[in-house]
Amino acid sequence: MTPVAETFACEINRTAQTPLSDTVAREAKRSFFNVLGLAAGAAGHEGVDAILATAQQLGGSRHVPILGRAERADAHFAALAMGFAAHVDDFDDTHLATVIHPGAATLAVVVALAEEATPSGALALTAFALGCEAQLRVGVSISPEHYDRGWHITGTCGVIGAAVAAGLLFCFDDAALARAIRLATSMTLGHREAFGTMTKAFHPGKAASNGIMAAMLARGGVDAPADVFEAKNGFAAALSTRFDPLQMLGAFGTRWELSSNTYKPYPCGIVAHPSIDAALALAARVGDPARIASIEAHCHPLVPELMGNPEPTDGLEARFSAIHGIAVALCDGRVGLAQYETERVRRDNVRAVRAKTRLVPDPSCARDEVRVDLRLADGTILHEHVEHARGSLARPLTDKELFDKVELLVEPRLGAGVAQSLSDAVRSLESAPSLDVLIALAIPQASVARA
Amino acid sequence: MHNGSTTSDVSDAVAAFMVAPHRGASYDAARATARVLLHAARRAATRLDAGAALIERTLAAYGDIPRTAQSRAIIIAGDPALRDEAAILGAAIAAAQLCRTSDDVLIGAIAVGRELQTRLRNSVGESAFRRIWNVDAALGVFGAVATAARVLNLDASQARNALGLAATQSAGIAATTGATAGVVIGKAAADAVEAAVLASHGFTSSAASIEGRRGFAALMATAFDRSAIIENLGENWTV
Repeated sequence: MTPVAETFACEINRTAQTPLSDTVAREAKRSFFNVLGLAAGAAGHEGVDAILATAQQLGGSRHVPILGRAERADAHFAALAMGFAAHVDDFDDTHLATVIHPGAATLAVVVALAEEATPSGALALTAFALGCEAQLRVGVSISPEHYDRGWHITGTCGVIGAAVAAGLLFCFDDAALARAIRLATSMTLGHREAFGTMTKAFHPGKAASNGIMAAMLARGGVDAPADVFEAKNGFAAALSTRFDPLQMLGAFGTRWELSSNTYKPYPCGIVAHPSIDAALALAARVGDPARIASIEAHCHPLVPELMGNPEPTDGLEARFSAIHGIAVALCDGRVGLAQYETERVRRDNVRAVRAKTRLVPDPSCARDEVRVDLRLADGTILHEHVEHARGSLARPLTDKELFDKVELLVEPRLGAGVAQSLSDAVRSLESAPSLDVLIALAIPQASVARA
Repeated sequence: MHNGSTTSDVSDAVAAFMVAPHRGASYDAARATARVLLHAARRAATRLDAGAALIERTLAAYGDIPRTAQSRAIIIAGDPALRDEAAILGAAIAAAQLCRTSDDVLIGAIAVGRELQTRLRNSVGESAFRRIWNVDAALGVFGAVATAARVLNLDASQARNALGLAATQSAGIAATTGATAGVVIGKAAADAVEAAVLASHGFTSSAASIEGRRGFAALMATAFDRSAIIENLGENWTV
């Protein structure tokens, strides 16, 4: 039988030779745009500062631009910084069946290598789509045992996707692409013990850097054994108790795991999303939140269990409080990163609404459903029923909602109007001669970068 | 919601050991061995072998320090007598180049790295671990980060973060052998130096990276004896 890595590389390269279908291209662009917004929007995070300070001490030539930053670094540290930023707010894309966030590491590779590989827009999009697809397929083949055991699958599988993206950008033949994939199996990272620290987002960042290194070494002829995936002392045996190579290799080009990628509309735990949808719908009808007498959200019992904190004291706690999500939606009429700033979480107006909000567990409610009863001081009662939350598989984010999300993410850093230009650039990616215009749009002007 | 542990006596003890001043006859003996190894490593590393030349060429765009760590470790790993020390020694040579460290400090740092790596190897049961992992890379990254952290003069909290960054990057499957296994060991050396520098700039990582529920031992070892790490750590030197 042909070894898994070889078949995998051949199938990936074969799929890369044909243009993406409209459906796949559309989802790839949505994933790309979403994660681009996150990488640029979170580029001011202190973890990115630490990575760039490290790059100053350890990096090579400083020629690679970094989304959302004025500084440059070598490809290794630029990829690390961008993959980190894209995931650090836990607001990036999620493939629900594996819990992989495939966009972060893959985008980081595509942008970090754009200068050296000078891909056309079409090749960049194909490399992004198949970089995501490759890691998702590896993930599906070892799920759910791998993640359940405690591995951060976004790092462990991300490195394979990153190596694939890099190999495609370098236009590797089947043999070189297979070498890059095989080498990546010895460059895995990601223990879930690191959750709650910067290291969680380090995982997709370093997965990107490692994928680039695997591709560089593969280009130089370095190789690993043919059976690295399936060997009894190989990747699958080391990282999982289950391995189904057919899920990695089957129906390439027709089955796309990327098609079930999802995008979070709000930067908080996913079970709170239906409640926030309802509160945003009510906000317009309520107007001044001081008019609110009480709020009851009838929701799936997991919501109070996982996110029942009535009085979060900082931004991180607020991310796990559905009550804060409801209250801040009613106060601000929008729910983006700003609504989870510690300062915002502590302000009086939102505290007052939180104090009037109650979660009522209702076993008849689906996970992505909520019924909210809101009573005004004058006795009027407003109802809102959300059947499927925005961003769920049953109710994907519309292009407009995705745009609104990215706009909130990037404009504080890149300036007004940039989201529209970025959206246009992503939409016409297949016809772009290079990524130059798109990347230039995501680099802040000096005056904005200081903010 | 699913965050890691916030406390750990093993990681705390290891971090304290990484940065504490050491003295005593047992430590002096460990230093004497470390001195011999450093000289052997320096001799070996003057020979630019084919594997290291390939790294120098293919990773030309990388910075000098990580490339030095990687290529030196690969050469050193080519010497069977030094292979299990290669990540530590590669990281030591690179970190010393970064910090212009005196040999006196560097030798102590190597002793600390070797002590941690040996104790970890004893804690996970070497033969079982070796069946699954490239032991010189997957454990080497721990020894190397202890050495680099000491050369960089990290405080205990930074050392614990560096340790966490190293733990989560412990890698290298046993199926990959030969020259490429050496490349993976070299990468562990570079990752360790990077982890220590990141930690020096405030990058954070897990508190219980070694023995936490979803940490190194739980995920990568079939058995784990914590006492092999913490018992008389810093008093009885095993190396």
